[in-house]
Amino acid sequence: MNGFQRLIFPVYARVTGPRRRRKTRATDKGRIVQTGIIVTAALGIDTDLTLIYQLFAFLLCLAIIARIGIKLRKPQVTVTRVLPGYATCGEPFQYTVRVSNNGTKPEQDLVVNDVPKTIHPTLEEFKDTREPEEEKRNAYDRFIGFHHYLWLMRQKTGIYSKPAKVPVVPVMGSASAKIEATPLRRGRVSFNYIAVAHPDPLGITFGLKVIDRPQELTVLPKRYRISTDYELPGGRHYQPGGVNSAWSIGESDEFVSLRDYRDGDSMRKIHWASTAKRDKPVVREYQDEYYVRQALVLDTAGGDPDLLEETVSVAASFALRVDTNDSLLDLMFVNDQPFQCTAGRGLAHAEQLLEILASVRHSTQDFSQLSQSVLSHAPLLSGAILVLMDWEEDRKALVKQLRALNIALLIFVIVHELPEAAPDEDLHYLVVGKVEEGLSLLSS
Amino acid sequence: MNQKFIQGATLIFWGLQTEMLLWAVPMAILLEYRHFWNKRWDLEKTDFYRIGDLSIVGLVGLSAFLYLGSSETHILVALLQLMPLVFFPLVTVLAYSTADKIGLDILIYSLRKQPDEDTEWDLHYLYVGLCLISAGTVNEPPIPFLPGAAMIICWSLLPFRSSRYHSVVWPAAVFAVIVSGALAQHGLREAHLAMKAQAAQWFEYWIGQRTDPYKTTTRIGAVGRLKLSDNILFRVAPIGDPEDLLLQEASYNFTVDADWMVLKPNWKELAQPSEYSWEIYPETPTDKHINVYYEFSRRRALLPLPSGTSRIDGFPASILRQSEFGTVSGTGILPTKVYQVIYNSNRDSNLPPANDDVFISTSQSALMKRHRPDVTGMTDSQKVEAVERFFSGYKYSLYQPELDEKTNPLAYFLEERKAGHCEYFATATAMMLRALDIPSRYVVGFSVQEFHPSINAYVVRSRHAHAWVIAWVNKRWQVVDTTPSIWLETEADQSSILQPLFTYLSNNFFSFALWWDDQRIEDYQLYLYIIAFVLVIVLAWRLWRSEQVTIVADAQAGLASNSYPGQESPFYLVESALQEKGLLRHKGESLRNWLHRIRHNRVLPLLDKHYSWRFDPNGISSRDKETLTAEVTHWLAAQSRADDQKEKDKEDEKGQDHSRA
Repeated sequence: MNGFQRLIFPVYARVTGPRRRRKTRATDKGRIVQTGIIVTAALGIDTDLTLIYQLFAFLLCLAIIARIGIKLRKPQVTVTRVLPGYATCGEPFQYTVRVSNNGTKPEQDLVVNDVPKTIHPTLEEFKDTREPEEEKRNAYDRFIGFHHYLWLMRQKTGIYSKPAKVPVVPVMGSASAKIEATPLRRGRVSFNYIAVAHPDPLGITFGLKVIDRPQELTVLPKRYRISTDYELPGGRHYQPGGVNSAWSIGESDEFVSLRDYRDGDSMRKIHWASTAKRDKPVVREYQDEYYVRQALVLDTAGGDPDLLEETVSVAASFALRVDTNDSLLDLMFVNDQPFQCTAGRGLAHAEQLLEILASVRHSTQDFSQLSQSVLSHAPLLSGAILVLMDWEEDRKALVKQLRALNIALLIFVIVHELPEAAPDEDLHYLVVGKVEEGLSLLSS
Repeated sequence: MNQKFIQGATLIFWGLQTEMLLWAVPMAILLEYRHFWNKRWDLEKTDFYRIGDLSIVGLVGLSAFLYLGSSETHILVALLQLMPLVFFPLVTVLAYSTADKIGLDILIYSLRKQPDEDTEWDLHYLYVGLCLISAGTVNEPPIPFLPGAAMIICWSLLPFRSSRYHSVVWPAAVFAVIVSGALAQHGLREAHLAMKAQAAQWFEYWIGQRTDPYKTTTRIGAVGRLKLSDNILFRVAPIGDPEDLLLQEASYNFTVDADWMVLKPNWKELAQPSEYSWEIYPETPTDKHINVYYEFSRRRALLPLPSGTSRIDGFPASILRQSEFGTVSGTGILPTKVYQVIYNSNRDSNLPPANDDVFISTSQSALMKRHRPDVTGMTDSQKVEAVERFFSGYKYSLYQPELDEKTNPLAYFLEERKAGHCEYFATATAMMLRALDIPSRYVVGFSVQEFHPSINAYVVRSRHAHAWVIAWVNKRWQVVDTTPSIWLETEADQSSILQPLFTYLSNNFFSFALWWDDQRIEDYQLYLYIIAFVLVIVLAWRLWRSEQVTIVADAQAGLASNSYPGQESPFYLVESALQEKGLLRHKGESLRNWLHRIRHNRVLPLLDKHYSWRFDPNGISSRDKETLTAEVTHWLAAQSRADDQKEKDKEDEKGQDHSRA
């Protein structure tokens, strides 16, 4: 960030509003007319030299009369937004905006713009972030920094939607416009209002009817494909219980056989029918059974936003990959305090885990909090997937202790660049931006 | 762009206005032919980049050509006029490709690497705009510009009119735009003329000091070191032997403080015997010739001329005037690379002296009396020599120390410091000569001394600006330059160490420009045709190798599907009447279902007849057709009456509401 950018930073936020309105209000031809006005104003300034000033005057009048023409007929419509339950970060999706006509004439040539609630970045955020591929921008753009601001504002706003044409809306009827939107970040994104754009008689500019429609949408983290051939840790310790309908989890009981009563056996275990038949106390013998219980440990301490995003995405990919019909999955991470959520066997569903992952932030605590939480839970675990943002002493210590407890581990460390040292057998480095490639190597 | 003939019409309009119809017609035909040919090339983005690069190279080449060529009076205007030619290959390739819109990255190299901004332009409409701007550069066109441009713009907007409005609204809006546009352009022109008149007055008042024929302000009394620039202002090429010259810009005869001025210049317009040739005196065989390479950047300026100038040739200006003081001022000067001056140093440009030429204030007279040399019994020539001898003891200096307010800078120069720059010497000399009863004038101009054999011309820089004196001796004006002759060396010492390099480069460019001016485009026509031919062949070969796509002929397909039996059934009038009321039929909905849905069951008997007409293989009798037509007409009339009644009821209701209110 240079001194100039620091100086004009407050101006960025003021410029973005008019810029969006200008873009929304001009049709394709309108843009050409606007450009023509600017060019002819510059070239036609000397009325002695050329007649270009006549073109300027004509285009200016065209633009002014078009703006006035908008007022001739405003649309009398109401709108309803129909959003899907979830969207996924980075994946375009379609939703519907229903436009109802309350007027006395059919509504034609309308365009709907669904406008999200704009969140402007702070100076610190602007300073601390870098636009992807910023080095490809020209020197002027890099110096001014406005494109960086726009990118950051879009990221924080979280969703970008394209304007959509509305079919003819009959009188007292309705029509649907399909809007294509792309979520740019995970978490909850807010829609603010729907602007119904209606053209002027000349077709060069739009008037806007703004209808407040605040609504929220949960954007799930980006997920990667993980091969189904890959065997997750703890699988080899699996003991077939076969009681898929059982509601008790962990050390539940399974009937094995009958045996004679021994002192200390609970009266509740007496099998009365056999006791009567054999005329001596007979009790039911049970055997403990174990289910696969895996932990999905998410490291949120330290690291930069890119690392955190990839960490969450990898965790989300495994949350969907683990079969929660026959096993349990404990999602563990630390935000302000340690957090654990168990999915599977009638408890939470994988979708709920994704919803939780959508709101994961950087931890305010250090990594030891997470270590303690995982270790206290370790006796119940048959395996653990650790998604880490660093590979230093605290994290190594946790891994060592878990190995000592014979817990099968699968460790992912998200990095910006691959380290030279060869990783351990169960440790996998995943490079930011190439995570999918890294995960695809797992199957081989 | 699917709009037919708009580009062709615009190109023809451009061709007519710029007298390039021979180019415009084939260009228009080539562009419009695409609407009648159903093949398109499936081009890659990189192909467009190549064509874009070709256009930009063409634009740069054309700009350089126009810049170096001396024939064009205004480069930007000439460039704008030729722009449609430059971008024609790009537009043609786009027209015959499958691409519809395209980003500006094809023309702007730096945008190519940047992430997509999702902004694509319809280049065809931009080209229409470019052609219109280009046509607007002609100041006195054969066809009135505004009506032509307005017609093309409105025509191009026609397909984009919104169907939300009544059909009368669009023509009304266009009419309003045309009328207001015509008034606005008239207003702009008037405003510009009024502003120019006002600005001219201000300009007269605040005009730059050195070029003011009425007044010059010296730097006498200014403190610190005088900074002089090495910039080359112009070059002077002698025809014949080189000769050091003093070129006079203006002379003045009246001084107040640090200012010299002319009170009554008495301007006289110069005769123009032939175009751009200005005569002051009849030429004599002994006259000398010089070429002055001076491109004036302003429309109004003073000409640096040697004393005794008799004629100026090849100087494009609307008026040249000469004052009684030999100052020549040009108005409406057009940029030119060179003009020729014919002069005779034995002739005077200044008229004989008047009272103002001997005027000296009391304080100056007292100062001069203290210092003037003893000239008792001397002739005027001897007096002048005595004055020159007096100043020979003085030194040249570009630095002046700070003085208190009471000290007269000229007195300080004469009495204490005895050093200064040319303005001190010239002012003191003029005053001293007047104190000795010799009429004198203060002259500003340039000293032409830096000869460069490589270009066989003198180089005149900003720092060669000089001031000297002319004295009336033996009934003619004689140059008296008392500034020590080392002044040029002293000022040259201040130059940058890179100055020789810059001078070398500048002189080479100057030589190249001279050579370029001698070239004629006709000499290179063959080479240009060969290059153009090779380029066209390469382009055509590349296009031919690209993948071709056949597009469906929409018009023909549409015609085929539009003809069906029962097309002329009057029932369609019923349908459109209902739709106009906002009772729209859904896509794929049958007429019967629609009428049921909108509860217009009374029309169903008409529909049955329409269906028979439309679908019965045997058709219906002409009598049934007439019956249906009559019934439809009756129904429409009934509907119209019902609508009128409704309107009336509404108005009555409103009237009652008003009366109740």
